[in-house]
Amino acid sequence: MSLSEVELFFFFPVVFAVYWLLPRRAVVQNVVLTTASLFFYATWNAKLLPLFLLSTLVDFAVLRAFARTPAAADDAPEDERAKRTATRRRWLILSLVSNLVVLAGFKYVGAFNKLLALGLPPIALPLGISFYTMSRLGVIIDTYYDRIPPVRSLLVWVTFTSFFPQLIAGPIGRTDLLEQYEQPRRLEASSALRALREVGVGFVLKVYVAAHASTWVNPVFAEPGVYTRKAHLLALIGYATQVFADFAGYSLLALGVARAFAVSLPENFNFPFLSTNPMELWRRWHMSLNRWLFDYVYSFMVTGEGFMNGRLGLGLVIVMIVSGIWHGSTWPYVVWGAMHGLWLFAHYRYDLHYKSLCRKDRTWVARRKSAPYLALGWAATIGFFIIALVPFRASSLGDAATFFRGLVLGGGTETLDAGTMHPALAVLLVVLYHVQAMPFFDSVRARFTAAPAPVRGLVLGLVVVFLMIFAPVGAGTFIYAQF
Amino acid sequence: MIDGAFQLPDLPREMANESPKGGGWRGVGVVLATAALMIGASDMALRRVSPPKYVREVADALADYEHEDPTTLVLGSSHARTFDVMDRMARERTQGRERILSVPLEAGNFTGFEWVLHHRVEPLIEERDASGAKKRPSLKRLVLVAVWWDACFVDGDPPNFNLPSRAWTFGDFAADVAAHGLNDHNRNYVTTRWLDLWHGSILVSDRGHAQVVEALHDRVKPLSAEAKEKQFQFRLRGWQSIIERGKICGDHPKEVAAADRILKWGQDKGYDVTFMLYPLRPITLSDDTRQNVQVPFQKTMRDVAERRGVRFVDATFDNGGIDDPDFQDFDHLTAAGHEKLSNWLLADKFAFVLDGHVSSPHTTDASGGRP
Repeated sequence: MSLSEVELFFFFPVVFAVYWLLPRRAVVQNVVLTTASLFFYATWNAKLLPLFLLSTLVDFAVLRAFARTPAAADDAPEDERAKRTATRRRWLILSLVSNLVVLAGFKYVGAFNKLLALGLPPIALPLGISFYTMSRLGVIIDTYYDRIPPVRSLLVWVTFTSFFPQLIAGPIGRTDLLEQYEQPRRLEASSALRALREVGVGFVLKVYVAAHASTWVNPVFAEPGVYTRKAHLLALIGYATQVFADFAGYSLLALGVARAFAVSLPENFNFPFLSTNPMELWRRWHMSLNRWLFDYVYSFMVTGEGFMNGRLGLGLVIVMIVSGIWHGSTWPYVVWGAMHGLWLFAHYRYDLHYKSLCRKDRTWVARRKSAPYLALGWAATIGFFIIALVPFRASSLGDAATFFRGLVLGGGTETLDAGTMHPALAVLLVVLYHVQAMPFFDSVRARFTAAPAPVRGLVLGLVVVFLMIFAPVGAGTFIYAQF
Repeated sequence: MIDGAFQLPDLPREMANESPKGGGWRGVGVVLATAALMIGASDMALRRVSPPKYVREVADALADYEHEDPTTLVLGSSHARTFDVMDRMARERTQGRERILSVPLEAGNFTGFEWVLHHRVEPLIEERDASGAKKRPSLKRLVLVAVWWDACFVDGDPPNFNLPSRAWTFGDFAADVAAHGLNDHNRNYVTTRWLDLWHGSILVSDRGHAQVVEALHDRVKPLSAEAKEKQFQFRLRGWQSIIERGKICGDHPKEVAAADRILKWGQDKGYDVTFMLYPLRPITLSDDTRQNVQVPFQKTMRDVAERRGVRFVDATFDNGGIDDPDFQDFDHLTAAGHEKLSNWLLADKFAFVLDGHVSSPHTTDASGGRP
């Protein structure tokens, strides 16, 4: 099941009605959400449900073990502290190993199978395994370091782990989400309206923009080098549009559906194409993943007793390669991660240098805020990001190289079928989506937000009519589900 | 967090925690009601521009079978609908003695027809009353109608969407989801139930067809004759390229075997069995596809009929003068075309229906004439 497919229109109203008709107690609400979520999971592959539940229980056992063995107080005897730390570390290792072995087993065995010609049958990747594994590990690690108290309720833990709007592709839940499940939830009218907006915009991005943009993308990436230079350029712009709209749209759907149950998920995209430097871009794109990677991979590497203590720039390269490998176990993903790592590294060094200039002469500070500087930064940031999408989308490094050749030198004669204006409109919508978020449109947005309810209803109705007429059939398939 | 540089920036002002203002739950109600009104009004307006088109589907045929007792059962894809016209003619000409019931599985193929026959139609044929007698005892003929597509089989491409869409029950859907999970194949069941739920809405029924856009375009800015011809030629090329795929997927052993089993089932039941090839629109066939898709298909089907010893009616080109103007699109007849074909069939190849004639099983007339 998916949030962007037709089954949602049957599934959601039933769960929504049951959820809000039953007594508004946290336990009851969590039972409804857990039941719905496990059903949601089972419709994808019921055979893997026991594995999902087992890994959930193992992690809960670890959390309970942390509760039984709290970290020793600072004034506790040395041997007592050492003993407790060792016990807690064993439990942490159990959780890390069990989660990461299962994750790696499903995600990377296929790659080793292919590489070493082991002849193993193909294994289906369990739904959302990357996302729920990261959510759980975040809580386990935070609990281990005593940043949060151990989860006490199994029901809360299962609800947190399985919550269906975020099951397929996040956003990756953090500890604040646990707190929400411990309290009874009430739906405010303003939240309902916000949920409607998120679902509306999410559907436009997911089923219209992403689907139509793909018509520029698929033929050229299927046969790179056969098409003209212009076709390669359109395919790349189309892919940047598609991959953003697909994931940001699905994330908005997840946020909106979750909000309908009065659960507030973390934002996942913050208008990334407005970024004026690479660091900013990665703070705006797939925010929940990058925050997780920086908190639980980067920070551990470059701080405290981390093996790369203080080597902040190199840490960026490694964390982005990890991000690449997380996306897939093929070389193009590794190259994509390395490109971004080196890019962040270069920016990090440049930033250090620039800051030193600022310390010497304050005019550099003003220069950095000037329109030409920001425009140049924006062009370099977005330009590089789009170029780096080539290995992300290409099926092999050879195809990526052929695509680059086609992009720079042309070479082919095939042109993209002019077809309809929808792909161009899809690109334009993504541009407008970002432009309206810029500060000088604040008043326009505020005016719409304050518009009378009938006006907003008319707009919502028009959006639905537009989607029903122009969104292609089968547009609900979600690219990011594969990660 | 280790460095201020990695702090996430705030969302743009008015976006982060912004919730639309709107007067509490009353406001929510007004937004939803206005949106619903807008959608309903748009649907009504668009229905005037492009009325929804309804065609008889498997479910309609099964509902008819519940309270009918046909003498002739016709299995086929959308082409079986010609026999609805023939049914009216036969009833008129025989004072209701002969009743034809078609089960059209849109975009079907032989394996699909076989599934529908055994899972949905046969239970109705075999249904008994309290005394143990058949509830509907009159069935005496089986007609299998086919075109080249019905023998085409490409695993997963195109997906066999017609069965879950048109012939599954909820039980079939649930069993498939339990076995394989919800996937693009069984999701067709959900999609079609969604369409059923909004029966009458052009916005829902037009999904994937783009007829509304075309009708609006016609109203606002009609295409010139030249542009229309260009569009027609473009679509014709598209259709011809579909037929070209028949060179790869046509006459698939799995589909041919299913056709053979359907005919055998009819014979085993003691029915008069006819295997008919449906007329094709001549312009849709290039010389290449005529020789490499159509002719081999006709030969294979003739062989199946001969081997099985059933009546074979090849109306692909020998069809009483059905020609381009009789088609509403590239492979479906206009209402007048259905009349023309039905008249011709009843006067010639299917005259046995009016005679009340039933050939004894296991006789053959591969020439296409009456036995």
